[in-house]
Amino acid sequence: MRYPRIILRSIWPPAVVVLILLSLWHLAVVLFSIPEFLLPTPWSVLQKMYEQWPRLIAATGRTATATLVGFGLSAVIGIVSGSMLSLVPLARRGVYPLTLLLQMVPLVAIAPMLVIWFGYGLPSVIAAACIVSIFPVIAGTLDGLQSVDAGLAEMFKIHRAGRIRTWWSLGLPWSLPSVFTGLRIAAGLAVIGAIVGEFVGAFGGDRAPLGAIITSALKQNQTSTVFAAVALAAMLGFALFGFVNLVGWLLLGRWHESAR
Amino acid sequence: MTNVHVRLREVEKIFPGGVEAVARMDLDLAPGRVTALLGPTGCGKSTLLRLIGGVELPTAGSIEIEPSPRIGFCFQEPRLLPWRNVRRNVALPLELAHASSEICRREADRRLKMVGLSDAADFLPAALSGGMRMRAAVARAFIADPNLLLLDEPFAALDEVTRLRLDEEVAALVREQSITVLLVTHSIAEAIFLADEVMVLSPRPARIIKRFEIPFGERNAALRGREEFGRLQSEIYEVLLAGMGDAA
Amino acid sequence: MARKITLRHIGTVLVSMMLSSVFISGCTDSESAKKEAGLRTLTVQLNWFPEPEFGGFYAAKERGIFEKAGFDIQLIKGGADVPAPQLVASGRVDFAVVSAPQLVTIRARGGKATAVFASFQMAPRAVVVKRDSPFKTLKELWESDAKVMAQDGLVFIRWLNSIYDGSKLSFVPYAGSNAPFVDGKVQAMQAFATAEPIQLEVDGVMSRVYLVGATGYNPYDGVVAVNDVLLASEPELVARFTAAVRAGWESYLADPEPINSVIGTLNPDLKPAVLKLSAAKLRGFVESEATKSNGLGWMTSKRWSELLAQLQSVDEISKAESESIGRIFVNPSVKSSGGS
Repeated sequence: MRYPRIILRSIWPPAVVVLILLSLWHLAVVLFSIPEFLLPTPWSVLQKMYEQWPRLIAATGRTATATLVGFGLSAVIGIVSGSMLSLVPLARRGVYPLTLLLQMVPLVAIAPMLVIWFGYGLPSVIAAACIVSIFPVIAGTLDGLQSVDAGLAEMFKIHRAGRIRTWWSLGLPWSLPSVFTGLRIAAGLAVIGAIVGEFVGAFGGDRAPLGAIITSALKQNQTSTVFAAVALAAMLGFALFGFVNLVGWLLLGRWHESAR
Repeated sequence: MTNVHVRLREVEKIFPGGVEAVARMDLDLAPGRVTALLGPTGCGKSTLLRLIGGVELPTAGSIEIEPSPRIGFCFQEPRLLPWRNVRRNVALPLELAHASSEICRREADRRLKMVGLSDAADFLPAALSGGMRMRAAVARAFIADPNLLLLDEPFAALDEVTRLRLDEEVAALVREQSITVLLVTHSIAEAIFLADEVMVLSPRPARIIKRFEIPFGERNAALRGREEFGRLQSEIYEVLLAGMGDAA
Repeated sequence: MARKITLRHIGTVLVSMMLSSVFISGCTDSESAKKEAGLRTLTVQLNWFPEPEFGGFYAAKERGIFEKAGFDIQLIKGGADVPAPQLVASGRVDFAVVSAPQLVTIRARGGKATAVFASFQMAPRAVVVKRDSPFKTLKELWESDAKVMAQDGLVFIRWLNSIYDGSKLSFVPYAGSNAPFVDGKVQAMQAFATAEPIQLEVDGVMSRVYLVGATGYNPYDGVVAVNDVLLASEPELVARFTAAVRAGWESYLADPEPINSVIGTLNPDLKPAVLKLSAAKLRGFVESEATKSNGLGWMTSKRWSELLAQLQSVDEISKAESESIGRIFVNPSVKSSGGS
C-alpha cells in the first residue's frame, strides 16, 4: 500500500508550482489592470468552467473521442509501417524521407483538404490527429527495429527463423521501449492535431468539441471560455500521456529500465 | 545418437575488406568426441566455428558434415531475450521450429533440470547471476538434442569458480550423450579438461601447429590437480607461445 | 605606397556614401515626402477579405480623400479568423471595422473601443440556400436537420436559435470559401447579402437570400471602432477621420468602378462582374432615413439600446455587463474652423 504515498510525493511539487504560477498570473492581471478580453484571471476561468461545465465536458468528450481514435490509428499504422519499412530496406530508403514530409507539412494548411476528403465532423478530425502524430511512432518503431542486438539477431538466424517470425518474437519486443518513446510524443501531438482539425472541420453549436468552442468563444470575445477550453485540452493531453506511460510500465516495467 | 563427422577441406574465409581469417584449412572433428581449438586472440578460431555452424559461408573450400546435424550453439554472451523468462528462453529453438507449447515446456523443464536451474524457470534473465544465465544458455543449446555442439568461449566472461564448475558440468553432459563437440577457447586448462583432442593454432590466418591427444578418462575436479594435467598444460603452453613467436 | 592606399580608400568611402545616400533617399522618398507633408499614419484593420463592403475605405484611400484630410492610412486586410475587435480594443491598431454586437461584447469584457461610423445601416447579415432548396422559409431551414456553414460564435445564430427551434440543425466552420455550399455538402451558409449571393450567381449557382434583419435582429454592421485612448487624446483627429470615411463612401457610391478594380487586384478571387453587382446592391444597405439627414454612417442611441436588449435576451451579455458598458458610440463632428 505504498502507492498512495508515492503518488502523493510525486504530485505535490508540481502542484505547488502550479499554484504559485496561478497566483502570479492573478497578480499580474490585477496589477497591470489587464482587461478581461485580453487576459482573464484564473478565477474567472474557473468560474466560467463551472458555469459551462456540461457544455465543456461534452465538448471534451468529443475531442477525446477524436484524439483517442486518431492516436490509436497512429499507433497501429505507425508500428505497422515502421515495421514494414524495416523489413524492406529499399522501401525504407525511398519512403522514410517522405514520412518526414508528413511531419513537416503544417496541419493548418492541409486541414481544409482533410475536410474535403473525409467530411465534416469526426472523420476529418480523426485524420488530422492521426497525421500529426504518426511520424514519431514510425520513427520510434524503425529506430528500435534497426538497433536490435546483433547477437540476438544472429541467434534467430542460426535457428532458421523467418523474417516475420524474427520481427514478431525479437524485433517488436526489442523495440517496444523506442516505440513507447514515440507514442509518448504522439500523445501530445494527437490532441493538438484534433484541436486544429476541429478549427476547420468540426460541427459547432451543441455538437461542438473543444476546438469549435475555442473559435466561437474567440468570436464572442469570451476569453475565459477560451482559456477554460484550452485548459481542458491540456488535461486531455496529460491524461493520454499518462495512459501511454501506464501501458508502457505494464509492458516494459519488469524488464526495461525506461519504464520504471 | 549417430555420430556426426565434420570435414573441412581447403577452407578459406576472406572477409570484405581483405581480412583473411582462415587460409586453406583442412580440419577433421573426431565424431562423438570433444575437439578444442586453442589459439591467440584473432587467429580465426571463432570464424572456423561459425563456418562449421553455417553462420558464415566459406569463400573457398568445402565443409562436409555427415549426417545432417542438429546443431547446438553456445556463445560467450548468453544471448537471452530479456522479456522472456528462463523457461521460455530455453524453449526458443523448439518454438522457432514450430513445436507445440506442450513440448516446448516439457523439454525446457527437462533441460533446466539438467543444468540445475529448475527453481529459476519463471525468472527473467535480469534476476539471474552471470553463471546462471550461462547455464540457461547451455540448457538452450541442448534443447534440440544436438549431435553437434559448438561452444565459442562460452564461459570466458564468468568468474573463475563458476567457470570451473560449468566446465565440469558440461564435460559430464557431453560424455553422457557422446555428442561431437567443437570448443573454441583461450584457456589451456579448459581445453585440456574438456577435450579429447586439442589443436593448437597459429596467429591469423590460423594453421594447425600441433595436435594433442588428451588421454584422460573421467573429467572431474580432481583431474586438475594431477601431475600429468600440469605437465600437459606446460607443454601446450610452450607450443602456443612458440607459434605466436614464429609469426612475430 | 601608403599614400596611394589612403587616397583610394577615401575615394571608395566617398563613392559608397554617395551611392547609399541616393539609395536610402530613394527608398524613403514617399515616406519622407509624407512626413514633409505632415501626414499622420493610422492603421485600420478590416474584418474580412477585401470586398466592396469596404468600398468607402478603399475609395477614400485611392482618391486622396484621406490624404487631403491629413492621413496616411494603412488598410490591413482581414479574413475569417482575424480578431479585429481585440486588435482595436487592445490598441494594436488605431481603428477597426467590426460588427456592432462584437463591439458590445468586447466592451463588456473590458475592451476600450468606441463606434464612430456605421457603414451598414441595414444589417446585410443573411442566410442563403440554393434556389431549388426544399426550405421555403428561414424558419423551415432553421428547424430542419440541415448543415449550415457559419461562424458559430456570431450572435445572429444565437438570435435565430432564440426565435426558432434549432436543435436539429448542425453548423460547420465557414472560412471564406463557398465550395462546400456549391458542392452540396452543406445546405445553407452565412452570407452578407451584398457579397456571397452575388459571387454564387456569377459562378452559376442561383440562391435564395434570407435576411436576418427581417426577423427583427438588425444591428449596425461595418462599424468603424476607434481605440478609446486615441479617441480621448485626439477627438478632433477622430472626427476628421470619420468625415473622410464618410466622404469616401459617398465617392464610392457615386462612382464605384475604378475602386472595384483596385479591390479586384487585392482579392483576385473576386470577378469583375461580382464587384459590379455587389457595389450596386450596397446602396440599399448603406443608406437610411438617418443618413439622408445626417450623412452616411450616422448612428442613433435607439438602435444601440435595442441591440443591447437583444444581446441580453440571448444571454450574450449579462444585465450587469450591459450596464457597465458606458458610452458605446459617438457621431464625431468636425468643427468647421479656419485652419487645421
